Amino acid sequence: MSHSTIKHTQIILPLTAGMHQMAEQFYRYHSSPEKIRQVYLNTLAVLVVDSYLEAIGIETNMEASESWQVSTQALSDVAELPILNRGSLECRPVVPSEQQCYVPMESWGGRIGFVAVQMDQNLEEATILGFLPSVDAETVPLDQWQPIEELLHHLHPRPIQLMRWLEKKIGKQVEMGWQAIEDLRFPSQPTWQFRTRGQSVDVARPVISRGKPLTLASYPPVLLILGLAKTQEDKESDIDIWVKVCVSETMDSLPAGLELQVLDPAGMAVMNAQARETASMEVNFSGTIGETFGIQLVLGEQRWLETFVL
Amino acid sequence: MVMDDIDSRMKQLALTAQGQPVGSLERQITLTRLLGLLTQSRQISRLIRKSEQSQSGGEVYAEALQRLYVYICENIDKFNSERATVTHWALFLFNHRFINQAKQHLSPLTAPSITGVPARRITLADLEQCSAEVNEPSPSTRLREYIEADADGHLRACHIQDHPEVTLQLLLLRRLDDKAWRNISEELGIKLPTLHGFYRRQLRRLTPQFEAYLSL
Repeated sequence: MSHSTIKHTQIILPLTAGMHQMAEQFYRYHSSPEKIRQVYLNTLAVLVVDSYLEAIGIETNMEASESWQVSTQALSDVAELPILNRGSLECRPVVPSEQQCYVPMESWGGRIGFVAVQMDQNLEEATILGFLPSVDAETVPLDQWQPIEELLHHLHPRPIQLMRWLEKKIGKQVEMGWQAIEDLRFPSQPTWQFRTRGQSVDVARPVISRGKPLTLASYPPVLLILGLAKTQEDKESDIDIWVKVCVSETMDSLPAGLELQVLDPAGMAVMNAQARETASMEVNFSGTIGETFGIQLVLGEQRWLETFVL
Repeated sequence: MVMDDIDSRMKQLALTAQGQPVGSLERQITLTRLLGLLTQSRQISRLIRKSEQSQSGGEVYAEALQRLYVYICENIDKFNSERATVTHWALFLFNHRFINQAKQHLSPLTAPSITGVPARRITLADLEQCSAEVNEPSPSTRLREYIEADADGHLRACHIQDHPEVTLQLLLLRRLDDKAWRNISEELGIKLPTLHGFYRRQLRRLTPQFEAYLSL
């Protein structure tokens, strides 16, 4: 068998006595067999991902995990691993016989991403299978998980270079969770409200558009879509940018109060839109090559920010 | 992939990491790929298992391996490609440093066993048919009593908007029974996102109170 056929980096780590002890300590807090199994495996999954991150030098704040609280263990199914100054990962255990990873909806909220961890039958070692920045179903087939390196890109955000999108250098590739629009699932193909000379007209989709599902608070994911078009064909032309937030399949309207902001390089909001029981909202503006801007979504206390360079 | 290929790829990754700033994205990616090869290398695990003779059981082996991986990533700058391959470096460290460290670390953990046999590790099969030796009342049993009693009436009074019958107390008890959210949603006729949003907000708010009660 040739190992070169394995596309993804998969890391196999030992499950140590210390990890088992911790899992055992937690499961003794519970009585029902299903809960005991869940708490045991969730604990091991969190500890394995923590041990990988420790090895490569990423600091975690495991003690602050809500999964370490007995009442949270009893009242929900979550496996949270907080990363220092970065937000939390959800670490989901997979048993050997399963071809998919179960990610309960109650664990979707407030996570910067999800990691699938496969345990072996004897609970001697575990394989870190992959990463996803967001999920839109409770069961995710194992072949849909992205390489674990994607997680590292998410922990080191840097501006996304939009010219690479415009020049079609990126193709079908997923970059920081941004996917080709055809690969996204949403109720209907988006149309863009393109405001020109004070009139609002529907135009065809921009030359390039890519989208990314985002999980905010405890809501199902919303889709963020970014469209780009050159105003004129020449090389140095300004670029029109559309930003749209819309509901995914499982929702009728955007979370109330959700705000979409465009930030200048100093981080000041220069444009914004707010959701009011609508299925989508959008803003559009234009910029010149080399310009940097940020897109921020704000929902209550939660913020999501990504920066782009034209 | 033949052994030489793995060794040359690991050497290449180790040297690449040495040239990358500590803490940088590039170095973390390189170390991740190195860990991928190292931890999947059949030869390494075979040699290590053999050298360890499994005399002290899987616990020492697991503990030593974990320490080895952390050490290699943190000390990749100490790797000298002229002296050894990554495989041999790893084996040397394992045999001469981490086995002993692991034994020392684990001795207080395994010592209490009267029989001299280390306590058996729990497997998936054990979890499938487990009945834990819980000290009743377990914390989760006590939590149920607390929620059922609802001394100040708050859990009964708190409900989903426009659905006075769907109280927080009801949802907490359903979840303590391990009822799936899908079934709860069907039973109560409330959409999943609504249930989740409400439950999660309230749980966040109440967790300090629950934890304080359980720690009494």
